[in-house]
Amino acid sequence: MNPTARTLDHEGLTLSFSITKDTATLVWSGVSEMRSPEAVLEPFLKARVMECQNLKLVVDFRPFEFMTSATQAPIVQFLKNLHKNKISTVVMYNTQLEWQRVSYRCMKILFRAMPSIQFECL
Amino acid sequence: MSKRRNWTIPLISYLLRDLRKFVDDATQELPKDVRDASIMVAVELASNAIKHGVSVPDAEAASIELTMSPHEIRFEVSNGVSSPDALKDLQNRIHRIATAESKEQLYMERLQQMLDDPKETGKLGLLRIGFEGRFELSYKYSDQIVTVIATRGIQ
Repeated sequence: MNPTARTLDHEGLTLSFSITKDTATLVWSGVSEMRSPEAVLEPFLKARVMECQNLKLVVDFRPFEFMTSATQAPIVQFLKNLHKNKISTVVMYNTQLEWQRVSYRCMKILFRAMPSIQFECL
Repeated sequence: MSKRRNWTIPLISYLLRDLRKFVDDATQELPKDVRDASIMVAVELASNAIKHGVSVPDAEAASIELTMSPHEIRFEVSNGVSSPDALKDLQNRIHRIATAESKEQLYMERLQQMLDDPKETGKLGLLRIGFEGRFELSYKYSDQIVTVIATRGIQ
């Protein structure tokens, strides 16, 4: 896995990272069912945090179809890391998917004390 | 004379993908929210069996059974248990979820632990089944085999 690559493609999960002017976008799509997601995701996500210094970030989970609970911890640490690095972040999720509606509502509560992380549902 | 044989090693993501398809096909007639929850429950229970299960004389492999009636959907996932401590831990966690006044509160507590400590990375699957999936959890144990049972009513 090459953490400097801007796209992560692993066993059905795709993370696509792009930068336009002052805004970076990270789109999650597909499914995450790998056994040790932290080993795959953390190097990639840490590299993206470094790239987002002085940028706004949109993390778009709307095309993310399914994940096992093992993927939750790397996502929590990623968002925490963005807050620690003072990166203004908007997390977008899809309330038409029941698991996203429930999971991200809880995440919104979890991160309510971190105002740099905002949640928007569609 | 040389000989060559191939043996395919199934990867966990492919096993779970096949399981998702199996449950999706089997639950076509159910409301979408129940179907989606059922797929999640099956994958979480199977992941636990793969992660924690061991082979024992009466259960060399783990198994998953899906039963549907007009009123209920039910999963039973069985696997051998590695140790009395592992069994006790599983029993305690299921009991805690099954008897909780607020499953959401337990789920939030676990997320908070994950937020506070990067080393806290697991033990969310059963909570997800109970809270997000709205399935009732129970278990039975016999002859070194534990069976986790998840049921949800169908309106």
